[in-house]
Amino acid sequence: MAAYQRKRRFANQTRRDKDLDRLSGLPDKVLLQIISLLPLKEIVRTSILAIRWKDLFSLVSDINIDDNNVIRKSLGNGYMKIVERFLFSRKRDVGINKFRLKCGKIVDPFRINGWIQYALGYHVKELDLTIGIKGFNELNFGVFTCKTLVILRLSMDKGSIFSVPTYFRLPNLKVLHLGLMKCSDDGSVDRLFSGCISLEELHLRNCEVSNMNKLRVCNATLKKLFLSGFMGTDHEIEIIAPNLVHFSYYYTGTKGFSLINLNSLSEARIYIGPYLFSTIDFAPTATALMNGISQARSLYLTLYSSKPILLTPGLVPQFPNLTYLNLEMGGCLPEWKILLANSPCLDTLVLDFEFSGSELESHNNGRDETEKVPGCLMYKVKTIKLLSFQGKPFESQVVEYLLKNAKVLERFTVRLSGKKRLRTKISKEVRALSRVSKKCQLICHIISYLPLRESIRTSILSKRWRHLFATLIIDDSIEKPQYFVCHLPLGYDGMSDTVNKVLFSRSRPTIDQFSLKLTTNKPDPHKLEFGQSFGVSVPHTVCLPNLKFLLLRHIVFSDDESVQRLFSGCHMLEELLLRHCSQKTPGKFMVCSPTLKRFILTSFTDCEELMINAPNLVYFEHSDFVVTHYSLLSLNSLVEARIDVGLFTVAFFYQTAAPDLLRGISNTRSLHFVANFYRTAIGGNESLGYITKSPKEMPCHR
Amino acid sequence: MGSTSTKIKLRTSDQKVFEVEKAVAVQSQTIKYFYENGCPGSVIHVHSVSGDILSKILDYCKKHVNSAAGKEDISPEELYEWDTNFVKVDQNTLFDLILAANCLKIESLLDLTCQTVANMIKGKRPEEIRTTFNIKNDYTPEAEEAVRRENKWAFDMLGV
Repeated sequence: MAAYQRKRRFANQTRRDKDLDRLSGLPDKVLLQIISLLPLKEIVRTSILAIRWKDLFSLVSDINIDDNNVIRKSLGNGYMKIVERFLFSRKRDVGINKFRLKCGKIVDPFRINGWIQYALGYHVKELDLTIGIKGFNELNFGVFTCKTLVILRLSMDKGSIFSVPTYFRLPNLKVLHLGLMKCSDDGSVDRLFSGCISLEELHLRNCEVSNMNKLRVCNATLKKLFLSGFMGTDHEIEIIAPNLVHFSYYYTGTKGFSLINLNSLSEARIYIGPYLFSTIDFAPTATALMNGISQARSLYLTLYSSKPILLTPGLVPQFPNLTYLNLEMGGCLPEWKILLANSPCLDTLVLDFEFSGSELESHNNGRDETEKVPGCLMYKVKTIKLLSFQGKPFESQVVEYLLKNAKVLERFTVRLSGKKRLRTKISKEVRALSRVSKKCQLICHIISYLPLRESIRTSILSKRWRHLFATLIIDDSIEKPQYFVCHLPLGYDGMSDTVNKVLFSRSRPTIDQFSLKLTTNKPDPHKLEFGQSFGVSVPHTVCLPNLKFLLLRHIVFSDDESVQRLFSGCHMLEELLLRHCSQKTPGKFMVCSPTLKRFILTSFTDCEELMINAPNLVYFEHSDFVVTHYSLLSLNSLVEARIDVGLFTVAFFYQTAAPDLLRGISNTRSLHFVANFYRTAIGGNESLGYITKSPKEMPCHR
Repeated sequence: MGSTSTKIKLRTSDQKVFEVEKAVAVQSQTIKYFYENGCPGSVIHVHSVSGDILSKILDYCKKHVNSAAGKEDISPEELYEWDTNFVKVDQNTLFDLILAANCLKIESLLDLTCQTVANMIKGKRPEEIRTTFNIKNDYTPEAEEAVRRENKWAFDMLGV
């Protein structure tokens, strides 16, 4: 039989024929996994498919009994018979891996313990019991003394509340879920732990604790703890768990907290509803909770309150390790920024507006404009996500605030609320937003969440919208929201943006020649950035009288005079950055400007002679280059020069170019010279005060 | 984070070589085992998997790793939808995926693909199942009748 199977499988692999039976060719283990997902009766029915299938059903080790599938109550008897016949028809020597029993409708209560006993008798590893039947009073005690159990989920639905037993002996249990159980006294949970010595994960859901004063979780092996929905309001919670990694807590009327030694905590998810904050003395409870989780690295915090509670002194502790914050603000919490202020390492911020109220405006109108911006927002936060964005005025203000102050932001995502995907509504919101923050490409983000076709339709809204859709990164294969990643700060929002938009537009993917017309009609640009590989022939009419900063990346200058023309039109240029630029025809490259103060030239290729005439140049950086001749004139104001020869070892550089270069910058006060191989001596640097050299070798000079 | 950028090289049955991020590759318990117990930097052979199937599987792992790590902004519903689309393939590919997931020990993918096949079986009569999967009925009529009789309760079409 086995040989036959192998042969058959081999045949399957060689002949990819349409008529092949691949299903029967699967290994038994996989086939069993598939059929165990079927209803019990259908599992047995597979026996007549073919000889291969004859005994397969009797080997199933994952058993799933669910009386929810039974449509009519009158069929209940039949279903119970099916279950028992199925259990009876299994092979005697096959153990049970998973046993899931869910009944709440029709199963006779007296049968349940028998079925559970069956599973226990077959050394079950995972037991999942959801029982909600009236009249079911006593659970098979064997469940709490089974040596083979690794996972136990126990939930008593429909009001049949059970007490947590006084005796536990589950030495291999790792995961324990208890739902709707009753903890009879303060020692309940302690007894539970003493019997489960390997426990790593504990869920307590909707447990009745009205008899308890203190719920004590004190365990060294515990890694995950989920607490939610306690019934009863007079209890305190104490947790001592040095190895706890995950802590979830859904607040329902706990009186006090003491969380001790949660130093391994990586993720905390806390939900605090309006109930707590409506009590008069919420502060000690909330403070203890927040302080207990302050070591967490990521925090999901959901707060519902109509009062400004976060400003309560001491309520928000320092979060020294926090890198991820997911904040859902229900009601209104105008003072959410305090969380940022106390999280110095924050990297990712997620704000969920799903239940945000609208009363926030009144709070924000009186906002103090001079308030201090949290440091992490200015220097650390790289990713911001806004979820369930509905375009309310408050939300727009948050966006404006974030975009204004997040200086190192790399990713900004807005996810619109699912209900408001109607185009007209969104475009209205978008218009409002574009008024609020002209400086950002928010519109693009928002269009990117529209279905592809609708995003293209926005082009007819007005002239401003004409080309916007083309700036999106669109994956044509799926019509789903796409995330448009935008790099901030975005630079001058007039010309360079326009240029970049044109360049990045999907309708013009390849540009061979790009002619740039720079005129004075635009409002004074002070800063201009281009970046993308294209050739530039600077026109004769360049006039940028106020330009101070110019960054060119991946630009190919079409002719020798281009650069000169550019400078002649920029009377005020102070800072010039050329990165990865080159000339179409190798030749002379001239930088002559009396106003230039900083000049950075990196990865510049195809230049025969570099000529710099800049009497006011203070800073000069030069790296990664292939230049054969230098003529550096009147660099008298030079204070700092950074030259990186890198691995440039061509001999002629050291014979001709290097002496020229070094002579030219000889007036500098500080020189950072990095060379991996040094061959010739450096010319006399009269006022050289500081020298950095390569780690490899360079004879000390001065 | 040095460990996340480490690459693992995989060679498939048709001699294609894949270079995969470690975090993605170790979704497979088999690859993880070979990586941790083999020479660093050596190529791991996945004999039983073809290049086409492996690239599909890596797509799956990448999607799940990225969404778990928060690199990709995707809601659980969208991931579920993505999974559903992922297994919308022809039967041959589906079974190749199952075999590969089984041999590479990728638990979640095996669950997903098995559930897909189970859904294809569910609610069908034996004859329909045979047609769907080209299962050749190699019982004699008498033998089939005997098997039916053995578990008669399962074959009356009443009830569940």
